[in-house]
Amino acid sequence: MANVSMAQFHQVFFEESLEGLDNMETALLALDEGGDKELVHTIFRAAHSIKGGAATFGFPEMSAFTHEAESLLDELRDGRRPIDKPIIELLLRSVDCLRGMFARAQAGQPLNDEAAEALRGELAAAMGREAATEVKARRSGDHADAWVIRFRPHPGMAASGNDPLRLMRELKALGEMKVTAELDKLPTLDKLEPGECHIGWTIELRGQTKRDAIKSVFDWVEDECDLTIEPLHVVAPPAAAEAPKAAVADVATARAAREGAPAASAESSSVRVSIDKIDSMIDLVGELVITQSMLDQFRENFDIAKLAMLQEGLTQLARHTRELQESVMGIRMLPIGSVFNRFPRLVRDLSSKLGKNVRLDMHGEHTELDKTVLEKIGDPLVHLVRNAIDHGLEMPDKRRAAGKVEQGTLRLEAFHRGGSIVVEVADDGAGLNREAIVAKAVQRGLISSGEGMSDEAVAELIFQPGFSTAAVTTDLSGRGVGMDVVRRNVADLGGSVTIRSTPGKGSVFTIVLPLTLAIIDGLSAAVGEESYIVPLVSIVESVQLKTEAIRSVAGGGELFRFRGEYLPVIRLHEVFGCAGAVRKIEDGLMIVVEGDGSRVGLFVDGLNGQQQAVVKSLEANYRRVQGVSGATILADGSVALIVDIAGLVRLQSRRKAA
Amino acid sequence: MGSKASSKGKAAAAATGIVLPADCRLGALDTLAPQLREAADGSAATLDGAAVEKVDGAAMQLLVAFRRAAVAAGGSVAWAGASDVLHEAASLLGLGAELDLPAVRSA
Repeated sequence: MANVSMAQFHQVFFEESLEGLDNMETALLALDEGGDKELVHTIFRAAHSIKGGAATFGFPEMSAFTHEAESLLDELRDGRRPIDKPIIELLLRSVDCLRGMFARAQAGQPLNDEAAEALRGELAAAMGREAATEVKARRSGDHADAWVIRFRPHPGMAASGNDPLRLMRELKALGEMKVTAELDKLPTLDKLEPGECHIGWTIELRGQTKRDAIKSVFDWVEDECDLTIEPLHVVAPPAAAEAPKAAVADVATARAAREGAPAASAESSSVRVSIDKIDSMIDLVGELVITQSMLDQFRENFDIAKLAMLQEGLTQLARHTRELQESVMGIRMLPIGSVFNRFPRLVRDLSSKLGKNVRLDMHGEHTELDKTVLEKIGDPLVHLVRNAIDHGLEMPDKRRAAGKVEQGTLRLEAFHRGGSIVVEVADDGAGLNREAIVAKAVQRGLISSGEGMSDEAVAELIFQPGFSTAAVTTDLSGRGVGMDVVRRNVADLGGSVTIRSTPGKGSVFTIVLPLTLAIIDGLSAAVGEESYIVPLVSIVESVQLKTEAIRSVAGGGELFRFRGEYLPVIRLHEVFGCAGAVRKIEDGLMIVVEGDGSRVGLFVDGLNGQQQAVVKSLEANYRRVQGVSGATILADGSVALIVDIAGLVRLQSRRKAA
Repeated sequence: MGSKASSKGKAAAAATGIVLPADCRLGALDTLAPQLREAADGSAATLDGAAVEKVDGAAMQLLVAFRRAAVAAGGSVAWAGASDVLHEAASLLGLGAELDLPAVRSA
């Protein structure tokens, strides 16, 4: 029973703790840069909450580990120890270690591993000579066959949600227990406030238990009770021999029950919403109700004189509905800062590993993105940032030789542009090496020579599968996960990646993402009897062509000239088999779209107009269809398919290859 | 009090019967505490804890205080039933003797 109710909170605890770890890391990095000493308090608080939470939710290993880190932080806080690089490094590694523990906790695996144990030892050792002896002294009394625990809650303990019964239950999991209640302070019934604790306990606990394990049971209430834990020095009674076994069994069951629980909820599917957003939604719903009641009065008695009022009401309804829609969509929107947060650490570690001097410049952390997009954009961004440091930015001496400042700059920026979010990863490094890329592409058989290729076309080559110019495979890059994966991941989110590079000046990778995956802005195009939605983000422009503008190529393909380049034609009616569609080029319309890095022309009958489409999953309701990313319901109730441009382009190139 | 006849037997005869709720935790005590205070008037009271599914330290503390008050007033407290949960809580908190729960649990 207790386990079930605790498991419900595990996910929240994990989320909050991981957030706390992020904060710790950010603050540690800021400290490393010579930040305010106040930051130590932030770090300490985060560690303290994790320690307490871990103890409450039954993760004693985690709590014990954090306890060591916390002790170290305590010394930093009191100024007993200077804040230096090795300490920050050690604490950063502890943050990583705790992340690992959380990952294992979520996967239902044992929390401690050798690395964690070793690091915990390091933390203890780092506590200096004095502290080390203290630790040693404490450790010598760390193990005992039996303990006496005196526990007297302060009257307010229960009010903060801490039930002594729960603590006892946790203690019981550690060994065999003999409990004596001390009722001397219990008021008489008429004076007793039911919410106050007035009973104290003396507990004899037998079993191979460490002091830390007992202490961690009380971690959450340590400020709300008087607590002493002492080894019990008695001649072991005959029963004691059996006690450890029972304790082990108890702990094992407790662990099994605990580990089973989080595994089920490992996949997080919740979102935390700021109260402001909810308040604004409630306001809007209020407005909507008022408008509705205003419109309602026309139902009973309507004459034409009231038409203007009715129209006004409908306009209001439309406005409020739109605002409410935006507001509801906004719930899924989270600041990209949560993804950006990992980069200061990454840049710091990578640059010191590679011997480069890199300054990270981040902007637009508050730009909001759909939660789903946010979760999936992290890896591509990490890849781009790694690439920029590994390949883009030069070593300090090279930079000096090129007349640049030694410190390279990596800029990470997110901002709104139109209906999209743009994320840019820019470096002021050497830019793309055209010769190296061409040579590699020729070697891979992607092109026969680089002659006549524009710089853009050469830059596009790095997005080809399996392309890597890294001469030596390092553990940073060149692991077969290349730019093609970045592009595909971004395309899966309905976005695109482009690159702009200037030799000697650096490169800019631009990721354009839709604001949300749930609603897209699209152009509704007619094809025969049907309508198709073409996402607005992929549309370059639409043109009306004459038949002569189309050239047939060997193998049945068609090309047309558009701004100096030849683009393939994709006739939508052929791809989707629509009857009664326009076939003559001059009767229809060519929509030039861009997807997967190349442009194509989509041939349709005509355009119905621009509209917002609420995306319904086709996979969930039917099955996956090549070239279609989803469906939507039009104003007249009919269904329109949403064209997946990148998918169509891939389909087209496969057909060409076939 | 005490004039009510009952067919349940000696313990329940001339007694105030209090049934503990299934969720006998802090939130329920505002209702339970006044009942208990009233019952601790020196008469013979009966507690029925057979239905208790959830209990916490605060509730157990209140029951101890009630029993002490009832006995101090010259009355008595008998158990008409106690659930496993109640037994477990009393044992964990070291209050088994103090509450004098029935050794054999009635269903």
